[in-house]
Amino acid sequence: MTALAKSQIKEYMERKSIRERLIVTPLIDNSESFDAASVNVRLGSEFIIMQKQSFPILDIADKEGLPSRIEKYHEKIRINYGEQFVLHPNRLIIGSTLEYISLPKKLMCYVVGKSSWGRMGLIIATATKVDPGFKGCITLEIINEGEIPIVLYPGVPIAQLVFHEIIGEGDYTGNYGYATGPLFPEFSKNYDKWKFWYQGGQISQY
Amino acid sequence: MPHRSRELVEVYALEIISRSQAIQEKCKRLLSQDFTSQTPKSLAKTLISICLYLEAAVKSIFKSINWENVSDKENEASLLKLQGVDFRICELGAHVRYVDGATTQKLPWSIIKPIEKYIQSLIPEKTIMLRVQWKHNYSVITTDICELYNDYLYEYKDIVEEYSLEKVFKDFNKPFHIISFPSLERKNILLHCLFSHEIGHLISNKYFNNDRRDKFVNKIWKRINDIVLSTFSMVPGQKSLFAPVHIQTKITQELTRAKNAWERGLEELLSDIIGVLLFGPAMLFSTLEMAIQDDMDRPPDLTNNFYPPWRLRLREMLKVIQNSSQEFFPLQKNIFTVKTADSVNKRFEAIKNIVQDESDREKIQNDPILKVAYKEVGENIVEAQKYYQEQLKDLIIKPSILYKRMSHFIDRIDNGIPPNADENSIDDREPATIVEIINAAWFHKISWEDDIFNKNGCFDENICKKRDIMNRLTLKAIEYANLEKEYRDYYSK
Repeated sequence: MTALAKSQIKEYMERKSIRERLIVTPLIDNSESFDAASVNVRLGSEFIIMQKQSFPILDIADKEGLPSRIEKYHEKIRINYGEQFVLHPNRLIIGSTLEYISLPKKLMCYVVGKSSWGRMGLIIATATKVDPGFKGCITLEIINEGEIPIVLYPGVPIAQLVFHEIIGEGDYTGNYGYATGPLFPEFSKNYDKWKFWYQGGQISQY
Repeated sequence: MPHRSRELVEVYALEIISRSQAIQEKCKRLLSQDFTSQTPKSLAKTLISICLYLEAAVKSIFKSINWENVSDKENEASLLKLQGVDFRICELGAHVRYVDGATTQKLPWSIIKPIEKYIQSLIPEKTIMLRVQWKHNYSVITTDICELYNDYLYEYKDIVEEYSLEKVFKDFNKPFHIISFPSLERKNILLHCLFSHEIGHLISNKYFNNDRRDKFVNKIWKRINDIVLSTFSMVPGQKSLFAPVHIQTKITQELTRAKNAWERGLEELLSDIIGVLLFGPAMLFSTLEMAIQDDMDRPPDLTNNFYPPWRLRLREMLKVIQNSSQEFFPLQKNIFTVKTADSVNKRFEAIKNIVQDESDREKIQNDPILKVAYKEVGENIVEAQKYYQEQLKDLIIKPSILYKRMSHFIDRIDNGIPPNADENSIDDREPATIVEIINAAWFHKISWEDDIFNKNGCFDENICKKRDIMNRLTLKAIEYANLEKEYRDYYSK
């Protein structure tokens, strides 16, 4: 699978028709936006943090309890640009790219962490594929796998997007389109579709 | 007397101090929360300082009481002073809600900084704080809160030695006003351009000086007098002994009513006009959305705080739009898409039809006092409008500028992209202004508003999602455009 080079990415970003154009906005400083085969994206200012003390177990088959109790499990916070967010070791937070992305139907991309952050133990994304036709800020699952707390600043480049042309065309139909910040999963929407797999509901603890 | 016993006064002083400490505690807790701007934090810190100051005043007042001679008049005055401090503290307690309503979580946070900056460019001499309120209304506190707090403390400055007033107000040294948003409309960014009406209040209040008020009263006094006398001449028993007193009382009452109707009417209409001058069509469309919730022809009276009828407000705003040296309407189809142009023009025509109906004027004309007051409003508004057009001339929005990039911004929203910038190429990009973004969102929304119910009258359930996406994209666009400008400014210094 070939990745688009900088010149091809730029060509997609300057297409006349907004529907065919690759949009990564705002390109706050394009001198640091492009690498040889990727676009750098920055850390957004909204985060979802988990409150494990108020949630005993996350069971996606709990149709009744999950939607109401999930509010207790996560809290959305906003850090002003210029302010710090301290991520402690082994802590998972949900963030998003600062940039809003609009992928044309011919392109998909992967979100890849920046190596400088990786060397500090920061894992940026675990579900990294973005489908053609997706529009929105990309949710990032951020974990500090290192030994010491890491200070994050909204707006700093944190990940990169690697683009691939697809054969044929695709259009994103998932639940997370038009997101303007990080989104928490809504498993309850899939309850009926996945009911078969929830039968029994006995917990085996390991 | 029992209430003057030292024990009871001690208990009272303790309770006043406890109330003060409860405010400080609440403010300290609020300070640990996230705020989009520094302004609410300054207010919280100032409230803490004021409470400390008042606490010191309580202690000083208590110390000054001579318990050997409690019936002394001076001691009586000291007790009254304690009650005065208590009254201030209780009032301050209610002001904590302003800080509470300004936390990031409660506000449409992405627009707070841009709005604050926009207001700063209009009235740099004032500090404005934005907060939400549960009441479904946009409002502004036109009283200068900084001055009010200074007045609260000034009378104790000779008895408080620990703190100076300069120290108390070190974070709070400019006229301070609060604009409130309705909490229910937190994400309804399109309606938020009504904040420009609230700014209008702060700009237009310079117009209402005592000279102007006196001039108004002198001008209408005779007419009000005649109206009241003619009413009394029709009432049987007019020659009773008390008739002159009744007549005089009625004249005073009606004069006050006329003055309120004139001042409040002019205040609201001038603020509307300033809003339209600054935000153009978006302001007109937002006002219509508020107007539709109410009786459009409700005449001004004490129960509605002398608000002018909505129809009249729309009419005056429309005049500004139509009297612009360039034409806002009808939208040209070579600039906008046919769908956008047709829908927005249709909305504009609908507003024209609303204001052609003169039912509001009839209600005002049927009330002789309102008739007198609104005749003056009509004359003053022409003069005031000219004045504000001159004052705001660099900030007045013109169609040739507003519409230049608008179709690109609308196209972006139509395609699910925030209208934050005009992006011709990677190197040629210019952030949008808040006025362009909100107008683009309005034009986009109007273009699909006739599809909310289908031909069979069934509500399209997807339309709420569409509206939600539009609001999110617009809020995001304002945040992005502001961030990009701040970044450019930072590196251009």
